[in-house]
Amino acid sequence: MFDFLIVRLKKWFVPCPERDQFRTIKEVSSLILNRSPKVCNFLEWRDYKLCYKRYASLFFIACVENTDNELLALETVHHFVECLDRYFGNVCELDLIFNFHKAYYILDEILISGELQESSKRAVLHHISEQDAMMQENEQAKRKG
Amino acid sequence: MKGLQVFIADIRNCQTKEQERQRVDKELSKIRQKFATPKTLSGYDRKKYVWKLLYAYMLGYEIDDTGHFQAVELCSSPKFSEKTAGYLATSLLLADNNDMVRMIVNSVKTDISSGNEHMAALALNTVANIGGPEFADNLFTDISRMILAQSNALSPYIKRKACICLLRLYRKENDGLQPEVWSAKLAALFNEQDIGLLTSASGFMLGILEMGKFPAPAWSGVVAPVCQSLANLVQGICPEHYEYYHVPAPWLQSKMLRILQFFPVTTFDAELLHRLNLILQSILAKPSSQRSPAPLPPGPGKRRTKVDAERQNRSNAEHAVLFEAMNLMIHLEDTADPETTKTAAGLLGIFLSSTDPNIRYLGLETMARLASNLSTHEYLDRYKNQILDKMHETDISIRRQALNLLYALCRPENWQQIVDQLLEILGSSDNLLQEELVLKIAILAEKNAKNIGWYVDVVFKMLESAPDAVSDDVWYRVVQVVTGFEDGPSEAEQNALRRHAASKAYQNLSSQRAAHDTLLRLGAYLMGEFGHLLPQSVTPRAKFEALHRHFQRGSPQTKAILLLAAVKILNANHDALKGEVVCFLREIQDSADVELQQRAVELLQLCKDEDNLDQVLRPMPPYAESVQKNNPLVQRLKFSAKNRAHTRAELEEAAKSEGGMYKPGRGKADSTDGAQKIMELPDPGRPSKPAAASPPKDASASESSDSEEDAGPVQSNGTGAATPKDLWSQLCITPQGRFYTSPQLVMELKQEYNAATGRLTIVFINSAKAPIGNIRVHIPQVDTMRIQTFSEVPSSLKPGEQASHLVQVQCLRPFLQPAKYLVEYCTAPGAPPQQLPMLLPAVVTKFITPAQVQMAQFRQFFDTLTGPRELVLDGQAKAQPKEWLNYLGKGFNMFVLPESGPTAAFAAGTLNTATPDPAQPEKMMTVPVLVRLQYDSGRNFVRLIVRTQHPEVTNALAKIMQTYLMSG
Repeated sequence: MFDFLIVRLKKWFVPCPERDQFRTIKEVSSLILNRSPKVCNFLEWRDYKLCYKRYASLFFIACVENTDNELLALETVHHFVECLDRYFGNVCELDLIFNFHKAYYILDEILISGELQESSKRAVLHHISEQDAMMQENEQAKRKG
Repeated sequence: MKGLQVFIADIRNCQTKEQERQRVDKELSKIRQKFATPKTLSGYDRKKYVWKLLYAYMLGYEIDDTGHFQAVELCSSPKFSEKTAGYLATSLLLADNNDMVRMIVNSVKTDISSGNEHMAALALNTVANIGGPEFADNLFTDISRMILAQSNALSPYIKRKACICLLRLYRKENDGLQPEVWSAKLAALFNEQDIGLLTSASGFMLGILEMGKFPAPAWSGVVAPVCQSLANLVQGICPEHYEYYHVPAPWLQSKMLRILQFFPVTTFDAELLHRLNLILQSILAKPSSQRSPAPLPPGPGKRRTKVDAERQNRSNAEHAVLFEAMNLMIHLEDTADPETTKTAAGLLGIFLSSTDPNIRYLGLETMARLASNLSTHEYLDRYKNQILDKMHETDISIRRQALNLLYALCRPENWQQIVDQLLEILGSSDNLLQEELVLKIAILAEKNAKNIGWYVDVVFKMLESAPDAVSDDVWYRVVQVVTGFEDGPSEAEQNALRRHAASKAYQNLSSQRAAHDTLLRLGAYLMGEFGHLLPQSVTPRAKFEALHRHFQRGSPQTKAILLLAAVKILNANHDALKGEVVCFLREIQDSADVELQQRAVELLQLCKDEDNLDQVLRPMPPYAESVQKNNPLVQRLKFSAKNRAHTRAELEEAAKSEGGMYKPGRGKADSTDGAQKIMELPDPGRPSKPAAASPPKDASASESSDSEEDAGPVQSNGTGAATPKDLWSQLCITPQGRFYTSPQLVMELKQEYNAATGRLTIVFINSAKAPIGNIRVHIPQVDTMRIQTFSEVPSSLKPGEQASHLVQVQCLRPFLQPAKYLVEYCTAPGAPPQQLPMLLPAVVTKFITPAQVQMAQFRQFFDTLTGPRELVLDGQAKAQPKEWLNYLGKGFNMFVLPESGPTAAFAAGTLNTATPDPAQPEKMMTVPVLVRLQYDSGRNFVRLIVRTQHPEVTNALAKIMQTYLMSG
């Protein structure tokens, strides 16, 4: 289906050496890409569970503890996607490619250390826009000075 | 930022992976050049290059430590945009680089107390995402103070981040949160109104409970406010922007439902239970018309509409809460309202045929948990056929859950239908599931069959349809059951079973042309041991022929079993078979396989003396009753408990039990509790705390067990000075020596290692005046090593007799926990078996080979291996520098550089594994290992620095070396 896999965003909440990251991503993505679209969105993998969802040609994959709530893991992904969508206004893959740093900022306002900290889109976007404003002020200050 | 956009666009335009690599390499070398002259760089440039590095990192290119320093510098920039880039890059790139992380501690402190909310937020995000010892040591107090402060100076925004930060640090440094101080504070947090803060606080509380540092009741102060908060949400009291597709804060609801599952039901008073039941009732009893139906899966050509997608989100959120509520209900057991339980069972039944595969999956999973309460079976049994149907779904995730559920539901009344269907599925099932199916079928048949003969039939059926998935454990268990247990059924009944098993074996071996190896082993064993019970119509010659015809095809181990079986048949029918069997043995005397050859010679010798032969080949006595109760197959199954809420300790315990929890039968009364702890020899290679905090670890002070909880009496099965642990730790650094010693049994051990493979010979010696019988050895499989045995353990030893056991080990991954070698024997017929929980001395240092390097190379390489790949341990010297050469060279198998002297030593080696290297599949993975020792004679202090390419290896080696070189 895909010539090769392209990672658009990755985040580890436990330290993981680069080499292992690469191997893990390869293993996990091939497992998931081989699943038919009609089957469930969960897969047991090692001692964890993979919860994944596909949006157009992008797969969002979350690896969670076995005891975590799988449906909420899926909806956390969706919550993130919705925040991206509102921020970029009808988000598409290109937005994520050229603004991957923004995507990271938004993720940091939703999840830190793998824990959900904010489930309101309004609150997330409010903080992000304030941050954006601060960066702007900075730039302007620079221009004046 | 134009440069970054151009770089990204360039990469997108690359046609091949190779072009992409070239473009990235070019950029990386440019960046490295720029970073080499940092003075000329503006903050903007730094930020731009760090972003580019991050992009390359994300695509999977190794950027090593390029840019680490620049990222750190950006963190202290006064410009917000640069600071943001710095912190983000730090948390993505530097998580395992402690030295660098140390450098941003001050920036973090400044930003947290800057009074600027957004700067503080960035700093806290970084702390939470990295965690790690540096932050734990330096920031735990500051951040706890933020939450403990009485004032309302901090916004909920900052407080929620602080909660998660503290949780992350607590996971590292878990002495910091005392219930006396924190229980009330956390309870107060749950009275807050901000849902974001409540969500984070719930995560924080869950994390604390999961760690299990203190028993849950110590935190019971939070129960009432959590319950209140939850009740509000369930009633729909929730700010609109926290409603997720009309569901009030589903994350928070689930987290709170989960928190409650950690508290034992006994801590809930009647009033609270009443409230909980009301909550559950209103979640579960929501009429199904109001619960949004799952949308249909997208059909071919039909696009999902937006409405469909929204309905899916709503359904997910609702079901997430619903399943978590069911989990709490299951936790409440009999204190849950029976009506609610009935409703739950009904809902789960409906979910089985949901069109949404996720709901089917979770429905099955939850139903299996519910089924652990037997009283629910009356509601669940009716779904049996539907569940069996699920075993035919294409989705392996669902089949796995269905199998778990069937396993939980199986009882004597319904086992036959379930097992028959599973057997039918077995042959066509894919390999991934087959092994689990086989284990479960074998267990269910043994447990439930009224006529145990059916169990034997079931195993033979499995050998027919999926022989590769039938592990040795499965047929060993058949042997145990057929041989019988003490206090089992009458001899006549047992003999009927034996006859049945023998005739099953005979039918299979005489009719099948190319029998599978496992079938051969089981068949040969049964024919040999119980062949004499077969009806007269089966002639001795036919029995022998049934074995003989398969001989050529068998594996060496199988051949050995066939050989012994043939001689056992000879023993029962001396006159009829002597010619054939002796002739057969003669042929094998010249076998190329040394083991077989020896066996044949010995057996030939034995055949000359009929009395002696009869004595040696006497049937096996029944197994102890404890063996019956502790089915090793059950231990091999993964841990599955009804409760979803687990503390780390419980999960670790469970992980340990997988792979065979061998319960020592020290007597029936006390064999159930703490069984595992008794059998674990204190293991010097497994200190659970960093060196500074751990008590002095002396190999001879065997009473100091290192897993905090079992600091009680450990065990005293050693006699005199040399405890098994002493002997073991000596063997870990020497090639041969005494392994175990007692007045009856002595074991000597010899070991040879060649790269990743080791051969251990354990010689069993009877040093008493009475025979030793029922000798058995069990080596639980571990996933870090491949362990094979190349000879059978002698089942009995006459006085003065000795026999050896050959074990081959192959290192697959770095490990700390050595493999177990569990020995059992009887010193008198009928006496309770002695159990020796031994450990194989095949520790990770055994798989090291020396690497001859020059000092310059050593230095150069040594300097590159930093971060978690390095471990430094300081301590009082136990071994003096003059002994170092011996330890490093002979003990740990490393090359000691000639530059080593009395104050410093350098050694190099390679750790070999038998795991193929994913980059070069024809090669095995190896890990270079470097060790440096420094000695301070004034204080008699030694510093041990281990650096390898792999943090796990570093860790394992350092811990092992520490036990020999340092005393504290």
